[in-house]
Amino acid sequence: MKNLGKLLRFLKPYKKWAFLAPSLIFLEVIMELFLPSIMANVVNVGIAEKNIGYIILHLGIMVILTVLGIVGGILSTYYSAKASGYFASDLRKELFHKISNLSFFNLDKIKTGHLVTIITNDITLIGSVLMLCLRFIFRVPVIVIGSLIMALTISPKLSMVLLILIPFMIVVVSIVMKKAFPYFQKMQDSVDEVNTVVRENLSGIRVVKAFVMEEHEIKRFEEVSQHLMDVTVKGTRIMVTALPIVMLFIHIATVLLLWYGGIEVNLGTLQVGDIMAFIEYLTNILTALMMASMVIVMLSRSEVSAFRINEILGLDQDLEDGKQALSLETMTGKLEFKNVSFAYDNGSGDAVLKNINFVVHPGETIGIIGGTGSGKSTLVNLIPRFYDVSSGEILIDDINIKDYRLSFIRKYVSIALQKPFLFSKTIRENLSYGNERATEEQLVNGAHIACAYEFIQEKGMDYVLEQRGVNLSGGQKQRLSLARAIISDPKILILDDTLSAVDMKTDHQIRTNLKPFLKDRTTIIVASKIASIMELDQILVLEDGEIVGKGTHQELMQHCQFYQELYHSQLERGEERGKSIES
Amino acid sequence: MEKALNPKQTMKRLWGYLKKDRLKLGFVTFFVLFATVASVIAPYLLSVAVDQFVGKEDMKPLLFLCIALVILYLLITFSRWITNYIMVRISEQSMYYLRTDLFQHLEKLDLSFFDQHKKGDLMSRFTNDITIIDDALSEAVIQIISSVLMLVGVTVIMFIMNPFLALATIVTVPIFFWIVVKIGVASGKYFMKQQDNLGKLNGVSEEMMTGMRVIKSYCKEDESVLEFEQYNNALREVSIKAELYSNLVIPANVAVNNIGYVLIIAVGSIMTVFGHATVGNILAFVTYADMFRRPINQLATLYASIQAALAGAERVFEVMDQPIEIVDVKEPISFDHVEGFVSLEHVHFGYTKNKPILKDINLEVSKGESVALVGPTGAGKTTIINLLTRFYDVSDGVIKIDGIDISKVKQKELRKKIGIVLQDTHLFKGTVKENIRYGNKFATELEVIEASKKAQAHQFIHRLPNGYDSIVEEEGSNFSEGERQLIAIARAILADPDILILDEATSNVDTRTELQINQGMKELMNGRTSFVIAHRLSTIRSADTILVLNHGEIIERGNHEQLLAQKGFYYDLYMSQFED
Ligand SMILES: Nc1ncnc2c1ncn2[C@@H]1O[C@H](COP(=O)(O)OP(=O)(O)OP(=O)(O)O)[C@@H](O)[C@H]1O
Ligand SMILES: Nc1ncnc2c1ncn2[C@@H]1O[C@H](COP(=O)(O)OP(=O)(O)OP(=O)(O)O)[C@@H](O)[C@H]1O
Ligand SMILES: [Mg+2]
Ligand SMILES: [Mg+2]
Repeated sequence: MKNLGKLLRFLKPYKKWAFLAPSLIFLEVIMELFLPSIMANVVNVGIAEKNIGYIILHLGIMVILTVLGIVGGILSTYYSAKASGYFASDLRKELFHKISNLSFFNLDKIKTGHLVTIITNDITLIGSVLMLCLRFIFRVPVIVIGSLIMALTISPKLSMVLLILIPFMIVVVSIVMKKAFPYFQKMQDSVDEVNTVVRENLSGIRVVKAFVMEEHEIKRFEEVSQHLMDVTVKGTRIMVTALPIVMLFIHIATVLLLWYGGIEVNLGTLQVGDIMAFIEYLTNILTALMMASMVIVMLSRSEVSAFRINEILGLDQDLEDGKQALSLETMTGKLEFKNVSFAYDNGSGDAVLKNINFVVHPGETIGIIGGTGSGKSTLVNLIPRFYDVSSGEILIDDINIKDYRLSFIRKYVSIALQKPFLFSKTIRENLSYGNERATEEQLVNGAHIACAYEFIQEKGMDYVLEQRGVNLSGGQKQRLSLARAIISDPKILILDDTLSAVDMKTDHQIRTNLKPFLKDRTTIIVASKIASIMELDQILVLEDGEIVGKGTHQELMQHCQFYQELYHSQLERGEERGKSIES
Repeated sequence: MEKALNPKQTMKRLWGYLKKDRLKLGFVTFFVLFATVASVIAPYLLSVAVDQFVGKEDMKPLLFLCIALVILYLLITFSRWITNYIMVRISEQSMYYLRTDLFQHLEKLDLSFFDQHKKGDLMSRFTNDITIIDDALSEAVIQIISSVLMLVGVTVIMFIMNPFLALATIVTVPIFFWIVVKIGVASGKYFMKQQDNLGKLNGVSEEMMTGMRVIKSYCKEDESVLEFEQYNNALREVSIKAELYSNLVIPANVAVNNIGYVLIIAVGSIMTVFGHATVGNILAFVTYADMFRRPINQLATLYASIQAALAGAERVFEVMDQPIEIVDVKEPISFDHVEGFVSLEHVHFGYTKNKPILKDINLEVSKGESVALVGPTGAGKTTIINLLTRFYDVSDGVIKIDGIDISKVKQKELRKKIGIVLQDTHLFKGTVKENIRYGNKFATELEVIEASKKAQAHQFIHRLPNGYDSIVEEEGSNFSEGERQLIAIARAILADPDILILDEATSNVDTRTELQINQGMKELMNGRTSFVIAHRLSTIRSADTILVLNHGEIIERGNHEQLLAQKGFYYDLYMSQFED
């Protein structure tokens, strides 16, 4: 229960409720405890002696106790529901907060299916177990101790039966727990699997349908679904053995009581009515213990979830604000890479970037071109510190970016990602995502620069995008993502092959529109078309994570073989142009 | 989605899943019956023992009875255990069927459904909703059988023993049930909201997790947490209410039962005073009242948790009841071999009714022809492809392949003939090899490598430490954008289709590699009809026919030279790449 214990801190703000809930149960328990003895009295004394006054008095007490018990019960439910509800929602929030502050080193390792399961399924489970606990935490000991005292007053000897039985029950429950625990773990992992397969099918449904792989996917789903079923069956089967066995103990205790009680009655040390009362107490105690054993089994189930939660909460916040946490007035925008190397954690371990050096001054635009998988996206992802360099340093305004406050860097660095991501919100909300205070004019202006205004106007600013922008065309998504970056008014603007799905004409138009906008900004353009970067002051040619050429188009054409190859692969168009101009 | 709340219908459908394995269910019923009857008899024996054998000189009858009781209890324990043991399988099996049916239906649904629903919410239906059904159902069957039986048994015995006392015990029951139903309805409502909110929360979490890069790059972590919190708080509020209402059943039960006690004692006392009942009678009745209370309590709690299950089930069935619009006709025409004649006749289409995207598209493609679609973004190029593969159905007009209307053909057969590289690449979790083999499970290693070579993917795959067995993470996140496209191209090549469609297949691939792919493709496309969409005009120059699309209409058609000569839209488009 170590992991659950760790999570208890989330209950702290709700101490009061968490305390009230079980305490109020007290009233309910008192009622349950006294009722049998009052009833025994009514029967043994009142009815036997035909004492109507006695009967009425005790009935009155019963009514009052009942009312108290009910009030206690309701209030206790209320507070336990509240405490566990707030506990769960705080836990969720903390978890989400944690996730949103993790670096991509860590995020890359955690599957989205897993995270989503934890946020809903696991936390819901823990919440309901907490609720269960709050309602039984006092109840069980109170009933057990109270009934035990009552039983002792009737007959200390008979009570020994109980003391012998309890250790047995503890042994049974702990064996069951131990056996079932690994299955509980597998159950949650299986839920992850189900989530992952479903999620993948939802995002890849077009591919599934296009390749007619529905059957295959169904089979795949059946496998994970079957696995979930099997581990659940195994785990639950172990779990459900506990209850009948514990109940058997109760029954055997009853028989034993009957037998020894019979002897006692013969000896004249016990009344017949006492046997019934005793059995009643015994049943109470053992029922309470039975509940306790159920709760304990549930606890061990939620221990698994707690473990999963703690695993994430315990992840290193490896991307922290720099020690100096610099947060200057503004950023000028000088960007420098000094001997930067980088390798992905989960990759082959080979460096994806090797010894990268370059400088861009404010107002300059640098182009990056290179082969597929040469590390262009990786390079630009280092600037907003999505990942930290493995060695070397990146400087902005001559200060290592690790020394800045993270939010400062990200405020002034905007990146239009290669794979545009849009939120399922309106176009307006998406545009102003990086700059909430942007005026309508700024939005329109940004949209104009990105050549997105025409289609936005056609659809309307309040057009609601579906998840990931599926109701837009590829080029529309890219332009919206570009407009969003422009509107956020950055000092350093990064375009990662942002115009790959945009037609030539629009591409050209956008580049023309961008020119005045980029005047006093630092810009990095990753492109695959030489035409997009040809006229820039500085072009980096990347191959296999290394800079194999640096300079202007003319320089590269002379010195860089790879650049020449790229150029030639696009050259035909030049020839074509010549031809078409002639004709 | 429209919510049609119909608990009875939902219940019936759930029951349909549970009763699939009749044999097992029969066993369960038998053992439950036995355990229940036995557990009614046992306390009766107990009270007989107390009344008649305790306090007698001869202990033998008592011993005898005690032994009988032990045996009876052992049998009860065994049947309880075996019922649980079997029931677990029954309920998990039915949840398995439910999940699978849900998934199967999902795979059949139209694309427009997927466009409009959040992934996280749909995922929640598979996990959270089915979990809540399972939690309630796994115990429900046993408890309902045993509770009802117990109730009937105890009632009968009580009436035989003493009708007046029995009446005093039972009189409170209708009131109680009335209360339980009221509570149940209220809690059901909140459970429904709870599951909906849970789904929404799952939805935002999933979306935010996917968009984490954007969130982070705009420093929106705190805002996202705030937004998350809204859903989180909404969920909290309804689930507190749901819990509260469903748990109200217990105190309500306690109250009604204690009133019952008071009544028994009151009636019993009066009757004893007048000599119509004995002390032993009353004691037995208290025990019976207790036994009576248990099944009722169980039924009441069950009623509340069944409400929760119904809430989950409604959401599961909601998806399962989504109509499929794009269906096969009754007697589909078989499509053995495709020559590759494709024609679009007066095709109109819009994703929503009043917003036409494609207007009167006419197109005639002959066997082996390569067709290029060009045009500004948002012109409708991808949309035409979506229609060819019948991801969506035309609003008007017909699309024919080899002269056969594609809506008359089995969808699966149609799609098998078409190989496609989509604009949004998607890779599955698994190995590189599995991904390339996706459209052709039986391809040999050699064929996989062959296809990869043609797609220019071999080079980089070969260099990976585990080569073709390297792991692809969810959505291929550990590969570069271009690499993913190369894998997708290899996948389409390996599928060896009759008609090949490339929608911006190489948009993120460097031009040198692209050139090599195009050269490889030429050979591949030889004799196959192909459609190519690209913005890089070098890719489409060599196409037999180039269609220029603008605002959903074909405005120019012809080959490269013809179109340049026209000096129209294509000419402008083409020239714009040299303007720098
Ligand atoms: N699922 C959808 N739901 C609603 N509208 C859509 C959907 N998909 C596309 N659209 C709209 O239909 C129009 C045509 O889109 P389509 O994807 O066919 O363009 P495209 O020519 O392929 O453009 P691109 O070159 O940018 O990929 C666009 O205006 C787009 O916003
Ligand atoms: N998250 C990741 N984990 C492990 N390896 C990765 C990850 N992302 C990229 N890689 C690998 O790092 C290398 C560089 O990838 P990157 O995305 O930077 O290439 P790129 O130059 O942008 O290519 P493209 O032109 O295709 O976009 C590739 O070989 C890729 O497989
Ligand atoms: Mg890239
Ligand atoms: Mg498109």
